[in-house]
Amino acid sequence: MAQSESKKSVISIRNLKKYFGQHMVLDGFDLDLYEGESLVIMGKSGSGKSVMIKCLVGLVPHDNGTINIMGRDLDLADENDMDYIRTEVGFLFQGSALYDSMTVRENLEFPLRRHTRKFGEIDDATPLVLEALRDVGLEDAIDLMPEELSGGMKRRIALARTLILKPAIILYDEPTTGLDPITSKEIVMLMKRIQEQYKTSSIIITHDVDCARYIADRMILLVDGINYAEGTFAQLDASTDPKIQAFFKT
Amino acid sequence: MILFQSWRQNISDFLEETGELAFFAGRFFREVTRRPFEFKELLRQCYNIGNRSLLLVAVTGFIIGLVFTLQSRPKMMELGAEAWLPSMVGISIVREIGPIITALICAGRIGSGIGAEIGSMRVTEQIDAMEVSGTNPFKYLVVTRILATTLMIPLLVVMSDFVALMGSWLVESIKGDVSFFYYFDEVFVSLDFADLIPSTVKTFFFGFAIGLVGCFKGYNCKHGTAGVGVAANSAVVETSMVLFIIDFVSVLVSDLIF
Amino acid sequence: MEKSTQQNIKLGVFVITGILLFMAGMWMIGDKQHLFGNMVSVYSVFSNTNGLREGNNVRYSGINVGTVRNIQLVDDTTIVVEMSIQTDAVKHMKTDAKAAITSDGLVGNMIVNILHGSPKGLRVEKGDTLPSLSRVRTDEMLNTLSVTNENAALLTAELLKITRQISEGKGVVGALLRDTSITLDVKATISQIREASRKASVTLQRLDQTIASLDQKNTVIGFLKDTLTTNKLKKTTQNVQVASGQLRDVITQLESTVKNVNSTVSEIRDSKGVLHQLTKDQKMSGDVRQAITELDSTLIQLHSAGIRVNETLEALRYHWLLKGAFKKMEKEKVKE
Repeated sequence: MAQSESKKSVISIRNLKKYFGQHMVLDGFDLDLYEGESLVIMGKSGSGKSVMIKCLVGLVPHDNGTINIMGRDLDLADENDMDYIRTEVGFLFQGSALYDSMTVRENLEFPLRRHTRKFGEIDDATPLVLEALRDVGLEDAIDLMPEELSGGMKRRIALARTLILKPAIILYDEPTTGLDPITSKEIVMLMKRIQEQYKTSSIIITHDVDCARYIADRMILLVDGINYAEGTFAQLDASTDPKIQAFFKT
Repeated sequence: MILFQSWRQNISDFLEETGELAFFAGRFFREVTRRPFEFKELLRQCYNIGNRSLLLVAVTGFIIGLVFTLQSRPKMMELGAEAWLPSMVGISIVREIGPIITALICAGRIGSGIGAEIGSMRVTEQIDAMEVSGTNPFKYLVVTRILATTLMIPLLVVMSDFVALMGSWLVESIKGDVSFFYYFDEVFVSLDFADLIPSTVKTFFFGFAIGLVGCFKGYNCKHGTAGVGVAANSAVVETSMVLFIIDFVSVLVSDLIF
Repeated sequence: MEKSTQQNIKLGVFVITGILLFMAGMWMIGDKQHLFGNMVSVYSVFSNTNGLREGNNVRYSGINVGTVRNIQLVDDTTIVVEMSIQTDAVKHMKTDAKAAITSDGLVGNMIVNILHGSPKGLRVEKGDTLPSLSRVRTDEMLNTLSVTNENAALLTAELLKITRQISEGKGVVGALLRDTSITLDVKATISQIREASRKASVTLQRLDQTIASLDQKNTVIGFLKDTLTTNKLKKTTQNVQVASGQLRDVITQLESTVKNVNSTVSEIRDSKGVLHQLTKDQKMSGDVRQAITELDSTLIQLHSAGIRVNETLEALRYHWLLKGAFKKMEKEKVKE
């Protein structure tokens, strides 16, 4: 943690609590994301990782604690602030979440035409769409429908859709789930390249150890609703704690 | 005891869902007046719901008109009331058969479609994706669809009525050698504004119900892909029920007014 | 983008078609109810509208010319019906045209039927009130019919009684119908009349022939027509006349004698004396009767003797010896 203190914190979570009825999911979770770093959060299924990042963009309301994104408190955010946060924070969903009824082009244009704060009203979005597609290497897929794409391609298009707004922070929700190891590798490499190209900060939620090893600047292990352990991949991998070891031995 | 508890559970579930549906409808009315308006999406939904249902609705309407006339013709002839056939068929189709059959078909085609589409969008996080893309998914998905069904179902009903009357006329022209103009003259002589207006007004409610229940079921879809099927199915079942309730109420109300 | 434009065009066509169909339907219904076009309000006051409703048709000369716009109950016997009628039809209506509420068929809707006015009537203007005609309702009609029916039943019963009596032979008509002898009599009479008329025609024929033969000389009348013979005959006749005058005196005297006898007889009958008693006595009366009978026959003999004297005298007049004497007698008679 000491090594990061000099860096500027873009996301800061304090004492985040979330309940689903009687079931406690997050119980005082703390997190800091620094500019330009890749933070991997690992946890078991149902440990509340996805809920946590959805709380960050206001998709899931949290019950307690504070979330501060780029200097804006989520609880106090008005419509403008929300718009700012959602423009600057890109979200890559678990299943890509491409709009089935729209072509790739329409999928990419959708956020662009909605978030007019950053780029204003755009008459012809094609150059921006093509640029985003070029970043993920799928310029040819511009007029295809999502059902015509493979799982890996969908993930890339989803990434392109996230990138098109040129966000400062990207949240990845299990980016390699459901993909074969080779495609997973390609996606992770792409993420790394994007990271370097656009200097984005990112939170990556995964239980793919290979992915974590490759991309993580820093890791947090989420166990029982709190950040159980924190450190670099090497640090955690070397830990003798059985709960930590459980993640790396699978 | 278990039976009693399950009954109690069912009743409380029903009440809870009714309440949620009412809140959902309330949210629709709040959002529908607020900017921004998703006009393009509304047009797209109107096209999907209107144009794409037309063929199905028209074919069904035509067959209904055909069969209805074929079925009632022998009995009417027996009674010597053959001349009343256009009036009877006209009133039946305009007042009841046209609206309810069209609405039920649309509940099956459109209601289930909306339920499944929004349900799958919910399950695959497309709705979340939309929200983080700076779009109010309720406005974009729900308001447009409910508006589209509310506006398109009446038009579909009018067309279905017309096609059903054409089907009826076809039977009359073949079996009874009745001219097109005479047939429609007979139909419209017996019709009244009190027949056409309430039955048209109720189709707006039919359309609203189809959109509302379909969207509600899809928007609140849970439990993964299996939930999508449940959403689509229950959208059809509940919409049909709601349609009959609206139909019943509309008869009571129109009797009061006219 | 191209795709969505195409979709929007198709949607536009769809929406416009739907709206046009709906409008067409509305227009057709409105047209049938005469809601469009130039309409004029005309009123009529009824005491009973017999279930007339707003929107019912108004007919003139059997043509639907408008609708009932409004029905207002003014008081319990006054109901003002406002009718909306086509201007074209109102042109032909007269102020003395009558409005009647009738039913369209036996079980149909009620309609207002405007009956023709007289050609002298004024033209109906906007807001005019037409006189109304109380309509005979179907039930009223049926009531009247039932009264008629009852009367008919009574009549039939009476008729039945009469026919029964006739068939039983009671009364004049019955007797006439039942008595066969009358029929036979009538028949006989008719045949006699026929016979009589036949005979009459024969007689007439004969008379005809007789009259035709009168002109011939060889008959009696023909002979009379000869003038020479006529003169002779005249003389003879005059002689006979004188003789008969004398004879008449004789007869007159005889008649007075008979009268005297008659009066004597009646005196005998009426007198309450001995003679009356005598007449009362059967034996005596028989004698008297015999005497009278004898007297009667005497008188008859006298009478026939007179006639014979007369005939003899007549014959004498024509005898050449006595002709002169007769002539003298006649001359003296003329002198007197």
